[in-house]
Amino acid sequence: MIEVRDLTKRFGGLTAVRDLSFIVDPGEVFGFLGANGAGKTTSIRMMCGLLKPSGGDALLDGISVRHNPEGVKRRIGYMSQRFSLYGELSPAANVEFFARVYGVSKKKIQSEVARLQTELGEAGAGRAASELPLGFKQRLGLACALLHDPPIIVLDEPTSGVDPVGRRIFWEDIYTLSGAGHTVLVTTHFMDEAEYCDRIAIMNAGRLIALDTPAAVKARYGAETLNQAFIRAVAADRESLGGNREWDSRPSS
Amino acid sequence: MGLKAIILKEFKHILRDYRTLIILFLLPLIMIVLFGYAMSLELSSVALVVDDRDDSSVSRELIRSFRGSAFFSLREVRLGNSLELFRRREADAVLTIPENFSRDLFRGETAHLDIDIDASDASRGLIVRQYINSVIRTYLVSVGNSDLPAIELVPAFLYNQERSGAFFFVPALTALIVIMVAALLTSLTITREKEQGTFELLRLSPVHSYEIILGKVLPYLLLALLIAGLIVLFGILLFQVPVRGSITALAVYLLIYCLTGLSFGILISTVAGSQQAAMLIALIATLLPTLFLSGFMFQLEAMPRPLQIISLFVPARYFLIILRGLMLKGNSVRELLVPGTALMTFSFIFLVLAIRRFRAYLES
Repeated sequence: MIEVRDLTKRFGGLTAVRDLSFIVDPGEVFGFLGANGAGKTTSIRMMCGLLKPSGGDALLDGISVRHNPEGVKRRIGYMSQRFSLYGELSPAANVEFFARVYGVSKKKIQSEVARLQTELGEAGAGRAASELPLGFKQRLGLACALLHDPPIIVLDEPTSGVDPVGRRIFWEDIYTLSGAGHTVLVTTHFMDEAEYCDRIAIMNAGRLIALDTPAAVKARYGAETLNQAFIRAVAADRESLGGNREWDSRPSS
Repeated sequence: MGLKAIILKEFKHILRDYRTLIILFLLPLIMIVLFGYAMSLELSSVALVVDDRDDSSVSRELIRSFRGSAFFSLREVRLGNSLELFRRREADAVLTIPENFSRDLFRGETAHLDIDIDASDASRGLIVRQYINSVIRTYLVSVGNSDLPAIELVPAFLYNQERSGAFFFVPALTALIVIMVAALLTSLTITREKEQGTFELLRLSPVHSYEIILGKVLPYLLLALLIAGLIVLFGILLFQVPVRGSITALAVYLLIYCLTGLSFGILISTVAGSQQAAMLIALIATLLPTLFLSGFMFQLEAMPRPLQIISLFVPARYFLIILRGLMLKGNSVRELLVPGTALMTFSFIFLVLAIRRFRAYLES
């Protein structure tokens, strides 16, 4: 479903992402891990067609981001770490707007708005979206990202700041989506969350340093928790780079 | 489909934020009322101090003519130093009638009157001089002095017989307020989306940049036109400013001028990083040129050449010609084709620049 080949991004003399290659299967929940500035966001932006790669390519649902970024955008549903809907508009107005932008049918819009209203209740539906509890906001964001029924869903740190219960509910939604055949690409800081993924990729200094199931990654680094494995993986990689601190001073992109 | 979606969304933004909406309508009205009553071009009371050293029937007669005028409040003193009076702000002008005034007058020699005028406020000083001159001339006519010029000018002030200040400031203020409000309205729209993070979602969506730009300009065009119409209506009702040209033409030109302001605002919005920056740029970039380089306050013809050239790029300059033409002169649409075309060209250029800048931003 996602095929990344030698994807590279340079900003001036700086290489933010270097020869990234991996394949994500249809229906897979794929975790994307890395410290701040490791190149995660840059990679995701390239895969979404927002940023032109300096080298390599990525095929999403068979479509090249290099040659047809607009086509890629239509096949992706994106939700970001920060609440990025129109806070002063009502939840329904948000849904209607994004549905219209993507040319979703009127019938689908109506049923989606109705579903939302039952979920939020009378009081919640009339309020401005910014006044909703954070968990609801995230679910509203997800609902808006899914309106055009994209085969691929990209979640950029979707649960930052959400309480454990809210996160749990959110992850149930993610599993439902993957069960329905959607491919989910998720970046996260929470290692307990990364455990929920089918496979994880760890980035450091613009390169992929590990790619496997959570259990296999833990085994490889002899760690009991994914947290430990992550720290060891990154430390080992920094050592192999010869203690070069260049990457730490790089602005996160 | 993207265009319609964005237009609908912007309308919802406008209606939902009713507090801003109220301010948007009230502020221009408050401004025009304040300016209207504060900006009077006439002086009501000129403090004139007279030092009558001649002390003759002639000089006393002259002083009486000043007393008779409603514009002067008179005080007689015996004092040599007018500067001291000016410094203490006790006089706008000091009239000194020299000792030999009546003698010289009767002998047919040139008689002198000394007038010192406080010109620290130059325009006030100028008006004071005109008032004094006119009183002295009336006096000379009344005593049958033959030194009067053989030809007297009888000016007719066309288009503004009453020389009402309102005729001057209502078009000028309309030009200023409309472009300020219009530019402000749109300057915030894109920067707000950048700050909210909603912009990322727009970038990921299949909307075109021209759809976003037009979708944000069109709803505000209606709003700006309403506000502009209200300002003009207030000018007419409160200050009896006429509309001697066609009302339809006035509406059409107002619409074009609103579009110019909105396009300028959206261009700012594509450049500015934050809402505060956008607001500041929009205010300064419309207020200053409109005040100083549009013919609002200062005559363009009297300016140095470089400033005159810069004024060619100030939209309000053209709109003032149109508005004064339609309100006071009764110009036809055809007579205003040149300034009208200039405004449309501005709108077009601003919009194209905004879309191009926006597209570059989308792809960065």
